[in-house]
Amino acid sequence: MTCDPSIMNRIKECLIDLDEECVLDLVEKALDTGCSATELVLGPMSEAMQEIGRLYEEGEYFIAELMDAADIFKKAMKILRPRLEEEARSRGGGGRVRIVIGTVKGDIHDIGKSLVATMLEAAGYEVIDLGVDVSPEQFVEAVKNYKPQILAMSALLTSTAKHMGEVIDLLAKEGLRDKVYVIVGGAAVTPDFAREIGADAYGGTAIDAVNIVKKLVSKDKA
Amino acid sequence: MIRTSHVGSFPFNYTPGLPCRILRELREIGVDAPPYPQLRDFVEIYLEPLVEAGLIEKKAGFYYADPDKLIDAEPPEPSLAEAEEAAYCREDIKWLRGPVTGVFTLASKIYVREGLGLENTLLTNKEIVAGFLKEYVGRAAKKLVGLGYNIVFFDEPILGVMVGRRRILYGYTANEITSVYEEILGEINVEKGIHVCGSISPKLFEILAGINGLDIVNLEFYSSRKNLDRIDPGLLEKTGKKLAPGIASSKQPRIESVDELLGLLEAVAEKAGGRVDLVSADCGFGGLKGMMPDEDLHEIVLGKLRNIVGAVRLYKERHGMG
Repeated sequence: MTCDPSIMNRIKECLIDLDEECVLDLVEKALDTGCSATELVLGPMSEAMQEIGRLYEEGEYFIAELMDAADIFKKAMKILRPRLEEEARSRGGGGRVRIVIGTVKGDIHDIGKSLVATMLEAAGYEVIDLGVDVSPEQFVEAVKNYKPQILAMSALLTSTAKHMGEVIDLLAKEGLRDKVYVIVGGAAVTPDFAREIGADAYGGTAIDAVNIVKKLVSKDKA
Repeated sequence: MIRTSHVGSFPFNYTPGLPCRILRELREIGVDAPPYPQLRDFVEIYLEPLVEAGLIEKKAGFYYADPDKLIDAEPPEPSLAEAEEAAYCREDIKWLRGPVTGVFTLASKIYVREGLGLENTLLTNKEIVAGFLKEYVGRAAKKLVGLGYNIVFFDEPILGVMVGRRRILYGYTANEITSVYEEILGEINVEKGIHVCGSISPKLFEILAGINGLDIVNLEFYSSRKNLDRIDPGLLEKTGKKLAPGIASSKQPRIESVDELLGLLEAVAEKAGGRVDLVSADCGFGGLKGMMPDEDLHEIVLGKLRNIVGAVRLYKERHGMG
């Protein structure tokens, strides 16, 4: 069933406006009127998060607004997730790009990594968040188990960023390096550093991360 | 008057005598208001004493609190070993700066339930923030004043995350943030500042400039040029405050030229209507730790500060200041 365009627009407006009550009410209403969860996530919610990202890049919104939006998005996803999974099963399975994300060993910084995870999920990707203080072995194990297309790593401290290189080396040793794209980010990471360790891409912000994943994924399809 | 200073941290491990050595070197290169060199992570400095007092516990590298235990608890005396050591070797340093980790930033490091995310920290418990933690930070500030520190700065990086353009997270009002600090500031009679790193919102600038009893707002400009757009010179003048600008990188291990630093200082000073003082790098240098051997880092951090001193000297000459 096609979603009511006016409800879809209102959901998008309310999320951009950071109106939690409005978003959650309208998501429930949309589902009740037969709108698919997939359409809601890939439509107004994803568009709203993109707009919020743009507002952040332009200096209109700040981290507090991003975190607020991420919080509203997560609450909406709590309502939508069971329906999303049901819809995916009836479609005959996956097809969604899968991303494993985590903050490296010795680093417990979470805010940036969680924002990236939320923005990626808002963009329609399946995100498996390993959390913080993730060892190279745990990252590689996750790549083996989940078979993601993308591995995303975050580091806020220069003393911990070196573990990113260890992950990439371990992926190569296990014969997995060419099976997954690696993107890196965080305050301790620079484009030069990303190049030195052999990462496929560097993302400076959560918005960058979404754009990079889109590019990498479209490379695969081309 | 425009003085030079440093936010606080250095990228070296603590060894006995090192705080005094660094303080002497800062004095020799002409830093007007050096800080006691912070060589340990602020989490260790401020949270370990709470663990030792049995008020919070440490599990797998994270700190946890039972809010009920802190509500009526008496904060312990903070342990500021490097500050004490530096105070004893200040010699003829006229202005000695004491950095203190701020109330909200400390709250953001103490979890009240499992699961990462600031929403799981004491930041969401206003009663403890405005009670126990305010008292604890206030005691640290008073201790520094008692040791002879005549400039005290409260480091609050988390405010840059909490306060957006439209939103303040976790239900805080601007008034609740300012009143926490006004109570602390009212009890110490020295120069007082707040340091926030990163890009800040107009709302945060307004909040900081509006804190009664605060003398200086310390913001970074080298890595966050957009902060230039946040400066409201009218508000600084109305509230009698000065801006302490960060004009060198605290993330890149290279020595900026005097010209580069002077250019940024001129831009900030112009925007602030000349109301600038305590010029420093963006933030502490702790983030440079491990980037290269300590001897090389030592040269670089001193070189950055030496050139900040040089830039301020040229600025003063250019503008006919003594």
